[in-house]
Amino acid sequence: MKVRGSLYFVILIMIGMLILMGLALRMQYFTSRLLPLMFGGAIFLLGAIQLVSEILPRVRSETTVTEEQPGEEKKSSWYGYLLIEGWVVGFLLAIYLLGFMIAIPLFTVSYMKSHGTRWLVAIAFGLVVSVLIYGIFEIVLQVKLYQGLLSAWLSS
Amino acid sequence: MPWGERVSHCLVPREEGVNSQMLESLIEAMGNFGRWDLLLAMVAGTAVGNIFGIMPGLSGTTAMIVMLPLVFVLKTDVALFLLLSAHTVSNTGGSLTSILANIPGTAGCAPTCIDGFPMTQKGEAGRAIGAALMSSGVGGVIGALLGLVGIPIVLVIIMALTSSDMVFIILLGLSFIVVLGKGSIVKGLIGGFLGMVLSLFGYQALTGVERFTFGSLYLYSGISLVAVCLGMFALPEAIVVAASGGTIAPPETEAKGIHGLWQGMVDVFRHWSLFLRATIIGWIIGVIPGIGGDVAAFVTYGQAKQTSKHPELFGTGIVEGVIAPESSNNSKEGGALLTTLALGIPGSTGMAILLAALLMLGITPGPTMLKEHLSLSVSLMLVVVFSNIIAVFFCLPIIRPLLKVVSVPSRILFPMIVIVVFVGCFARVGDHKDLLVMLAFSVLGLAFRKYDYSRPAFVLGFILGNMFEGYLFMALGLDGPLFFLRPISLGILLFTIVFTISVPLVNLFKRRSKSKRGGI
Repeated sequence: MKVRGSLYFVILIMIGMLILMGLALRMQYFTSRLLPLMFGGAIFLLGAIQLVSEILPRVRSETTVTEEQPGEEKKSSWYGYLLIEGWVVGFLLAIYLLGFMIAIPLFTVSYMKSHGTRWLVAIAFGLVVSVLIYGIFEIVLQVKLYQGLLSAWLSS
Repeated sequence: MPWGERVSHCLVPREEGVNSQMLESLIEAMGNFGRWDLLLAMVAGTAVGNIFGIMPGLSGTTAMIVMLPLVFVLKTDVALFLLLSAHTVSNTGGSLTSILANIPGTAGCAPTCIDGFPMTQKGEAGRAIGAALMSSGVGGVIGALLGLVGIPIVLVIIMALTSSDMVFIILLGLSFIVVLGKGSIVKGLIGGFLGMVLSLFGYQALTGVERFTFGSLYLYSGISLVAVCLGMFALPEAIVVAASGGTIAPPETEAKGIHGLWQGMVDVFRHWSLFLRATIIGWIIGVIPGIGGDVAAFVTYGQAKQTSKHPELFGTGIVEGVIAPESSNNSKEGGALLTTLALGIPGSTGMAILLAALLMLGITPGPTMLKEHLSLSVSLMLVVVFSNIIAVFFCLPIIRPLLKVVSVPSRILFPMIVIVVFVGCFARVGDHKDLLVMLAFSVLGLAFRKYDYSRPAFVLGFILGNMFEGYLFMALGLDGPLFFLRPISLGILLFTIVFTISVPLVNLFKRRSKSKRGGI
């Protein structure tokens, strides 16, 4: 399973580099396309070497010296990672739509509640974090935090 | 007395010799440190710099930008002391979050995460912090002192460097990509080159061509380094902690408290040769204008791994992996300040802000600076010395509360990290598109982490790629295709080749001798 995932990753990188080199070839000046082509080509070539070493276990054992280190945590699956990444995407969407000051308590409360925290604790945490962020960034540092599309729409 | 008057008043005629000038300026500069307003400015600057360093996305440069208007309000010397001390120590604060939560407070602290965070996971947070504080503090002091004594020699060397030499200096920096790979050289190179390719996105100053911007105005100025660093390091770690549940470190870590702090401090002197090497390399990188200080920590980490007797342990949580980057990321400030003052060329964004502050005050840094404002130059170097010492004492009382982070359950820690990282990333320039870029890089960072591709190599490539291209075409334009036929360039090129080839050869040799011993 692990080998398959890393195989897809190398193939993805190689495809990305082919697209990038294709775009670079269309550039007007030689000086603009030289390094993207050089670096892209190098990655493609190295990707091919890595691909071969992933496919052929014998070659792989000779070209890599990766050793499992003691104490290294057991690696989770992509499913677990993507599930959490989904929360991050949700937070980003909330920032875009509602702005930081609404998205922060919303994200904190919903994440903590869905992971078994009691309502009261989750709400208290959400409020404390929001007040801290507002105090440090908006008041002390004078950073105007993004207010979101909804706020812009309502004010217009 | 304003700086200009005081400086011109103390200036000794050139005939009396550089040494006596230097001594008099040193005595006068030391006298300034008895003034309570200057001391207060330094303490306040150090506190602000540390806090900005701790917050991901913000840095000493941001602290300077925020405080720049104070130049017009405060006394000239007070304002300069405040700005410089804030900039100098931000990496000291940044190392704490790098070690405890794998969040690089500043880009220069990213290599500290590689071994600092695994040390926390092993329950050695106190030791890692002790090593980081001591190497940052003493490294910073040595860097500033080197700046004081190295003025005459360094100026001659810097003036001799051309864009051709810069190409090879950057190439030498890039050669550390080979070492930064966790195990596989091929994977390290893929990571490094990928970083280099992505650094080419945006407007190319040489031709005025937009590359890979896909019609977006945001990508015109390239991809944000802060978004890349936070996306590659902080978010993947937060996601992994959340996915696995539990806490960052074993439950006994917090109970241990700052146990091991003293051991970590002693470790720096136990590894004195590594510490000195990293400090000097960091200082040299700081001195060279146009490279930027963030590179120093990556290069010294790579160098430490390359010269170590047990390179395979790097990345698993060893104290040498903390000492090397931390010594250099503070010592570089002394070097960068020297170049900024002596040549008027800022080596980093932070130094550019300081340059702007000096110009606002009517002081023009450049070749005449050390002659006309020697006392001021010496005072600023001493600010770097004292701020580094103050920073260590500032960090000591905040370690214990920060240490609680490692035992906070992931259901609380994850939203906290994500919020701080998102707000910090946004606060840098106030562009919400940075958040999207950071998110994209978090997926790449996760893949790099999962499949053992080197994230530090990627970031090093990203920092140096665009710079390499700029100097390469400058050298080609000025010296033609045979630009490398300069003694300095050839020397650096030769060193780079030997260094690059030696890594796989040494690895091969080690594997062979291991397998032979196993066979016997």
